[in-house]
Amino acid sequence: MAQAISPLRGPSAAYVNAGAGPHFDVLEVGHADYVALINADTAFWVLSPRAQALDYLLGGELPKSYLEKEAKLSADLETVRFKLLPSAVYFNPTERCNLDCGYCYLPREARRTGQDMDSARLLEALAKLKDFFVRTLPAGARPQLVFHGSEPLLAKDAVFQGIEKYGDYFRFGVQTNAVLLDQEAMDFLKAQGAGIGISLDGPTPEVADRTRRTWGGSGVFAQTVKVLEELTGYPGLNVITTVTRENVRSLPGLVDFFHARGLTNVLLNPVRGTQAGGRALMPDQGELAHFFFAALDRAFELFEETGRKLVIGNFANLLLGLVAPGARRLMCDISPCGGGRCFFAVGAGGEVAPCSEFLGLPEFHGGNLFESSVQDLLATPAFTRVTSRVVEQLEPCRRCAVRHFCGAPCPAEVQAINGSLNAPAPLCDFYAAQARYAFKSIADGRLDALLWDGWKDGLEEIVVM
Amino acid sequence: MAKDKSTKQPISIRYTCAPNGEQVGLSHYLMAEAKKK
Repeated sequence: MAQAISPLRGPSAAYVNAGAGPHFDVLEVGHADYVALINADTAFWVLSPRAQALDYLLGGELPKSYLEKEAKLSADLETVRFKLLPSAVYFNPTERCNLDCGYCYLPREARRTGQDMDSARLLEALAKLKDFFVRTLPAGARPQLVFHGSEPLLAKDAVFQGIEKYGDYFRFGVQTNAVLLDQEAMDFLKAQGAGIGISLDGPTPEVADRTRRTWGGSGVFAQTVKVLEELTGYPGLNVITTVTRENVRSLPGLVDFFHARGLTNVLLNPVRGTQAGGRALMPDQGELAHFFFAALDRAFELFEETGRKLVIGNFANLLLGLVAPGARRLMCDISPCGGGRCFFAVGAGGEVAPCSEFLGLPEFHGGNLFESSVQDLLATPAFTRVTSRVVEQLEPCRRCAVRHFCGAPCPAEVQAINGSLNAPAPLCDFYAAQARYAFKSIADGRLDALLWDGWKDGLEEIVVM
Repeated sequence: MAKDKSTKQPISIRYTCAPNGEQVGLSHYLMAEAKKK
């Protein structure tokens, strides 16, 4: 008698969710017509018509098609999680800042009275970093070096000398509060093709100045917006908004504000709780989800109305995590995070940490750039503690369907809050909701509208079904 | 194969990217591209 269906293997090569068969979680994504079926280990997913989800799970096509591509999917994720080379540096040329933002991830006393790196030392540091990257990256690769802070333009002479000398090798960026970004400085950075990141937290001074103020308590909204408007149209411009309980309700309005000024790229980054000030300003997760998604909806509406995109970069990166994990541009929403493996941070005294979030946590300093080789620094326990933190070892992450679209960020704030790296993200509920919203956006056909133009360039499609 | 209960089709999108040493891979900064004059 012919046996149509194997009692061992079912209608395909394997039963799902038992033995060696593939495992699929079912995730409600808040869409009327679709639910997500997710193989969390490989970050593979299918949006199934809601009424047919069980048929897909129990039928033969999905597990069979998946198993045919499982090795490729697994290798793809493995590469981006474990096999990338360090190719970027956050470089803090001074500990000092002209502002006293309530949520800064750097200790307050250092920002008020800390040290600067002088020009000679900075050039020596860049030479050392270049030497490391020339030896480790493929020929022709240009690593990124972002002058960050504190306020890097307090060490402007040294920074500009570095950009001038090494501008043909590094791709430079400067993240600044814009207070010291005068016309001459703007002209220089534009001529060098340097990225310019501006920090701005609200669409009005009443909102923006709640968290970003001088040591004397004055807001800097007007100065920041003036610079922003002068940089309109510069392709290297982006804006970072740190989302706190003070500005979370303004996110949709902020999207209108940025779009009206011609911006194309912004980050709406939830504040990190690495320092006490940041912890005190963390938004309620429900409120964050509501207004963050409203901001994304507004960006989509504006695109529909005007044909002009304002990409919310941190969300766009999550979308890339779903559709092209290896093409992601930011490395907070994956585990291990990028700290210490894709990038690292150098402080004003030459101290080296996995990420600038860790510069204020000395136990995570691997050593000093001027005393040790970069290769040795990257292999220190301070670094490997971070680079070995994976969601598979965390509760509840290890059983979470969206663990590779979240990454349980950020190890620095997790350490600061829990005294251990072995804990989930403080904003776990928000990140899970964000993943669901990302699936819903895809089901709504908004993927291209919410991603950077040309996101598929150079990518190869893996067709599963 | 799933039964024909609706006209909606399943959606699955996945691309792979060969590592080439130029992956951006930062955290809280997004490098927008500009060219040196």
